[in-house]
Amino acid sequence: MREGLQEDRDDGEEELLQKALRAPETDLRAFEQLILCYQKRIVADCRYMTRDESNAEDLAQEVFVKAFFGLSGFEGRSSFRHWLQRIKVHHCLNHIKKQEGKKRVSIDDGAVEESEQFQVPPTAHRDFEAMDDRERIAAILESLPSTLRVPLVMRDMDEISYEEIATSLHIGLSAVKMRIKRAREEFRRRYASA
Amino acid sequence: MSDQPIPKSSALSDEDPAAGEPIAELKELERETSAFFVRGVRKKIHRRTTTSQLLSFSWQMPGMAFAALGNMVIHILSALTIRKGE
Repeated sequence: MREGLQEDRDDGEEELLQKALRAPETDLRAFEQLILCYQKRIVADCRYMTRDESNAEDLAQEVFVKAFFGLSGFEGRSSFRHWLQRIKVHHCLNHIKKQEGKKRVSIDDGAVEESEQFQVPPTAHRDFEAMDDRERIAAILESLPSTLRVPLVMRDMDEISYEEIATSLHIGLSAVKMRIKRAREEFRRRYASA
Repeated sequence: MSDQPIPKSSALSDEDPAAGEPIAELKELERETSAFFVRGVRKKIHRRTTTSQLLSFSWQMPGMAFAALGNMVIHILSALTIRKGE
């Protein structure tokens, strides 16, 4: 049943994509329908990847703008969703680099994990009980350090392959696997103790 | 942005067993957007289109002016040649 619904949704999105590809540059109607399909997801991705509440919507909007101008280069060899996610990943990573460049730390720096600013505030756990499950998951995700959170979001929210995560983060494949494993363990531990 | 197919080798393969709950919930994680989200995208697209049109116009402008000037010179010279012939 769920698979059937998913197929219907995919067909609908494929039709919208074809309309958007055929539309003249001034006609944004079909593309706006695609935005409506993905906006919540992309905003959430931007939010949890960058941990930047104030800029998440702005980042997501820029992702869609980039997608619009890159649409003519989309050849359909991967799904539109994956293509959009890759634009989002690169855009968010650039944003993180800019932000962290200002703070003079890097997400690829292992020492960052020990840094005080990436530690969970002791009060953070206390509030988890009052939240519903979805909110709790979001709060735990947000509380993870960047070195763990970013690969986890890429893998478990965006379903990006390990190889591509390694390429995007400029780290080795084994490092990616290790970070994702640790991120999942840490996520489960915090979820269980919440 | 290239749209090469994403390798599915590690998408829930043997080396990546299903993450299970609550990690699986991450796939469904969404956030409400403001009512002006789509309008914001539209504005940014229009702004960028206008900027690129202005830029391309400013690149073409000197060429167009030069071509118009060249045409004028040709017209004047041909008019002078006709007058001389008379």
